Amino acid sequence: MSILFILIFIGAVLVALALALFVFSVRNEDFDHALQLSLKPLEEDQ
Amino acid sequence: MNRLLNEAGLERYYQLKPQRTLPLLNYFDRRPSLEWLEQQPGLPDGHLELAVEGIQCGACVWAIEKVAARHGGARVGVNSALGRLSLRFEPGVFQPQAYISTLAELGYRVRPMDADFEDRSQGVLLRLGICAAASMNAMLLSLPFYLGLQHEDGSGFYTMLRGLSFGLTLFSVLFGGSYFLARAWRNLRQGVAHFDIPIALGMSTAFLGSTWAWMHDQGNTVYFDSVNLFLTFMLAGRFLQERALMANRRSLLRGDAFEHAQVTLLADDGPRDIPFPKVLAGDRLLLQPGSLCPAEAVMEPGQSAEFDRAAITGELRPASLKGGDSVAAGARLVSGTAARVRCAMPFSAGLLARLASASSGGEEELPVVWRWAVRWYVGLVLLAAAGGGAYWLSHDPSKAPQVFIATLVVTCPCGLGIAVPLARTLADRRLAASGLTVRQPGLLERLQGVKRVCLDKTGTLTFSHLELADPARLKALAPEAQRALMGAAGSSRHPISRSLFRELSARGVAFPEDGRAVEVPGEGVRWSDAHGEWFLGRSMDAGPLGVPGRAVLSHEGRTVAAFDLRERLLEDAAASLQALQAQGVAVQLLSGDEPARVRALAQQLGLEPGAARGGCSPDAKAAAVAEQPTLMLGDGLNDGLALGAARVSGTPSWERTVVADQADFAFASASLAWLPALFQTSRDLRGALWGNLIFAGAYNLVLLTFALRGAFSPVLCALTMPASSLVVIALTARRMRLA
Repeated sequence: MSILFILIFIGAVLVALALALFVFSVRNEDFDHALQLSLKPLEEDQ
Repeated sequence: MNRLLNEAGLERYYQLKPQRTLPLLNYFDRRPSLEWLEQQPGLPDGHLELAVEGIQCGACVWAIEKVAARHGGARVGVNSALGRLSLRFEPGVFQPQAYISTLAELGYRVRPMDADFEDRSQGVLLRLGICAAASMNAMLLSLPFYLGLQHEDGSGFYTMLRGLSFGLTLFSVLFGGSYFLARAWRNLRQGVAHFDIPIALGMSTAFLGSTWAWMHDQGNTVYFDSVNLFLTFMLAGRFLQERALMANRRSLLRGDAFEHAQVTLLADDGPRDIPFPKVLAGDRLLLQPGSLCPAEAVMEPGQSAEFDRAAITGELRPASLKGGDSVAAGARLVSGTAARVRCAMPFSAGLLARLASASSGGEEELPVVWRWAVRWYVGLVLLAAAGGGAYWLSHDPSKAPQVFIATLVVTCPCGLGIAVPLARTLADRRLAASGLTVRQPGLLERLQGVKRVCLDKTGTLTFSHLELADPARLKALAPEAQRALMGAAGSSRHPISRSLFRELSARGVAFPEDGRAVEVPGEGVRWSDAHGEWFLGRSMDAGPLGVPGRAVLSHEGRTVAAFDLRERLLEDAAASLQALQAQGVAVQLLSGDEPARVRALAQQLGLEPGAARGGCSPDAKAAAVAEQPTLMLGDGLNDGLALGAARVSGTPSWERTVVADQADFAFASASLAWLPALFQTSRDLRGALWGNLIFAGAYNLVLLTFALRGAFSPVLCALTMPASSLVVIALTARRMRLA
């Protein structure tokens, strides 16, 4: 059962990491320019 | 539009643009005033935050970005949901004026951003993301309990999972729930019944009850996962709502119709430019070609000029005025030489100021039953919970807390909290795809009581410029005749000359630099070049719709060619109005133009003769509109009062229109197909709101019986709450999907 405790701990760390990335993304206003970002893959390589 | 996109190398626009959006109007001859740009504080540093209207889809975002790249390069951020345009550029290299002008030609209207603008949806988005993460983890942590994990296991696993669930829920309530708690408290203090109150009540009692049950080892009353999920759904709904609110607030920005408009004052100490609002009675003004007369005035002796009154009366034929004649406020000088006038009244007392200040619109209105539901919901919920608790207290006290908490959990307005904002957001998306910009909240709700549409003629049902009846005649002209025609037409602001100029420009004819033009007021333009003397004579008769104008080009007194010009109806106008009538909505034309021409247009559109009223003054239009709840569509200054009197008002997005910022919505489409679709959207929204209300009522009633009987459990809640929310979302999305 002790492996479960470790897995939960790792899961919590991953969640914290994902949340940090999400906060960074919101602060970067990525969600404001969602349409613009969705068109990026269509751009030709410079 | 097509030519402009091709010239700019933006052909790919058509690959990205969805078919379902309507074509944008061609704003080829719009010359937006960009004086406000000089006053933007970020201009010298190369950082501008602007508002942009007219974005319909990803193709628009793409075009806006690409145009910037072709103007020297700037970092462009386009927030299509809120209509925000963020520009970062190197001053001197990138020319924002030229960039914004190009956007205007493509149909995008750029305005200064409101200084007080604050995007509150960002904070809600942050809370939503964090609560969603907490919610998913809380659901996973709850799974073992639903699969049979018991406290007696003794492994410590039970205690840890419950502790983690509690911690996550506490975090969600403090971070996400505080948003609703603070708002509910504010509403309570102000005595306002708001949806935040039942949300805050449901969330806090479910959390506190679950905490109590967890501490007292009542595993069948712990709803930590449901509290998280509930908060996530509520925040998602609130995010959509805030977004829509922000977009509407931004659209409510008032334009600078006359704030920056200036006129030359002939003062005793010399001429100087003054803003329109400073014009007083008795002021002597010098009107340059193209200038607007700011107030009712009289032509000075010895003067003669032509004035276009289309924006005031809808009449396309310019008036020839001489010394002593009255000049109406809002009339535009179209002849080639400046004219001196003396104002008969100050700008503030004039028709122009009165028309420009009229406004319509209103607050967002919920259907009566919704307002009733919000007001009584909290009381009913508390009554049901207290009643259930009291009943069980007297019959089986051990079940009383469970029933009390379960009742409050069941009645959380989960589905409604997300379905209503979703329905409104999808409705707004539909309108945007039709080329409509909503400026006033509650537009679709107010439209539900409207059974009549009144339309202005010139500039609303027809394009404001004339078109050539037979373009082949231009092509048949010799090159020197084409150049002379370009020189003569390009030197005048007369409507016929502007139309010919537009047609020649579209054919790539350059303006000749080697000639000289002299305008003869009321007759035409004389053009002299190396080939001799040319004369472009113009006339506008009062005949029926079809041939309202004619131009004759002659060379050394010999006629070279004659051009007939006609008004052009918006695409699908007849079919759209027929479709509207089929929906039970009456249609009426209200125009300041001559009655015979308005009747002819009505006949062409398949309307009854009684549905056409010509020769209407601004007051007569307003009185006609006020007779019953009406949707008024108009563009001219003479429509300002009628737009204000209408229950719902709309206007084309002309840059020259001063009423554009006062209407409930603006349309940028060259078609009228959006008009029946607008009424359909309004009906669909009403259907979606009622459907959700009935579903939520039935759902709550069924589960309330379970809760009051003591048969409701956390696992049932974990299943029904997301299921009901997803059903409501699916029903709303299906009803409000894009046609």
